[in-house]
Amino acid sequence: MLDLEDRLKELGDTAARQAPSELRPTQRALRRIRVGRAVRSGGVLVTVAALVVGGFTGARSLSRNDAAPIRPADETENKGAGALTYSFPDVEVSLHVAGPWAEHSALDEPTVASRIAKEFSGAWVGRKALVFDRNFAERLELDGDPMSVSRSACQGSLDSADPEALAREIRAHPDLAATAPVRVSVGGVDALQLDVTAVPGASPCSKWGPAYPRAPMVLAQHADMPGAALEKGSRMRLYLLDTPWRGENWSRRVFALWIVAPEARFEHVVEAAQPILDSIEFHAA
Amino acid sequence: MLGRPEGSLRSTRFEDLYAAHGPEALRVAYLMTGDRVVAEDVAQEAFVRLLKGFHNLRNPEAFRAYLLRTVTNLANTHFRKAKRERDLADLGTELRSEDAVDLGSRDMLWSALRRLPARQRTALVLHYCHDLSEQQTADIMQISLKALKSLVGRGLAKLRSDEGVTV
Repeated sequence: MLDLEDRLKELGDTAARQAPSELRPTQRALRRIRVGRAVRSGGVLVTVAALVVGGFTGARSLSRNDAAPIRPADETENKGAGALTYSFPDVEVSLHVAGPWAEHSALDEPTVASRIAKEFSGAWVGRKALVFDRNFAERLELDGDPMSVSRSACQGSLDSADPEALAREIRAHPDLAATAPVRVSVGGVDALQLDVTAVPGASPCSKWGPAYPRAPMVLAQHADMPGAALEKGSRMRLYLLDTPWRGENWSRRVFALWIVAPEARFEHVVEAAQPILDSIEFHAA
Repeated sequence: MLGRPEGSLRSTRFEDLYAAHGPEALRVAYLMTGDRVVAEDVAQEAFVRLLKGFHNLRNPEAFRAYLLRTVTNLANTHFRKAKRERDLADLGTELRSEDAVDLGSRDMLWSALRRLPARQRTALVLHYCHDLSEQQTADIMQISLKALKSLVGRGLAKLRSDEGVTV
């Protein structure tokens, strides 16, 4: 009789034979994509990406449609705050956004963000960011389960399992100067707040591309995936939330939220971001 | 209007990635869900989610890890939703569950596999069924090698103790 490990491998072989060989077009999938985007937009921001997998003609194709414009929230019919929801593995984060904040992924091209992205050498996927007045240098970003970044390898590290440990690692990073963490509450969740800047002569994470020649990384999304970058001359207000909803999909216990802006504009941008912070709600998925 | 923007380098490159990784995403989704239709939905949704933030990708290995992580997370989300639907159905609510399985209905081992906690199931599926190395599996799950070995050990132990699995 086969042992359990062999039976699992055999199960994999069986599944490989039985699994569909390619993604087929389905009306249901397309309808779901459209509905999903509409719900996500909350009637405020317009969807930007649409995907056809397989194509209705039968020929395999994968397309995106960038034609739908991004509209900053104050140009929408609502004229006021609009709701956005971001989904993470174990939690949904809802917040209200009003102009001149806008969701960065929905911005018209060419934007600073897209220009940076085009120079980017790593995978940039899953970023969730709001951009102030269409300027990516001034932004508010979110990330679940972030990692600290080792200076030597410029890689995400799994060592920091909770906000305190992550804050300690950031403060110990030789390229970063960080204030002592202050306990605050964001969306009803306990958090540590600290301000982070890059020290003069800070080493960039050049492995992540020429888009960040002056930017040390404060957080990573993944071992090889950049997260929170800090441009030269900018300051970051970082919130490290102690996640009460921590589920089985979270490796650690942290949800991060950060605001970045040039020093001269920092207080103004932070003040402008406050209504967004005040509106944040977390819903365990 | 849906259509391919002519001369779009990004679309072409994403299409290449889709061609390269689509079948693997389907296989993993099928292993995780045991249902062809659900597997297609999961794989498609994974690509949609990656496309949402897709700008310029030059690291296919990172894409593969992110894709498989997204697929397994979505499959586990499907499990949770299906369970909620079953729970509601048990209370008399008329909700149709799309939880019928192709693979699981014919394989007791797979049925036992799907009764495992999500992370144990994910570890066993990726490592044994999909034949990824321990390090690759740990990277996709964003956990340490030690944590992965622990998950695998506990998962195997639970499977061995499952009445439906004869080893």
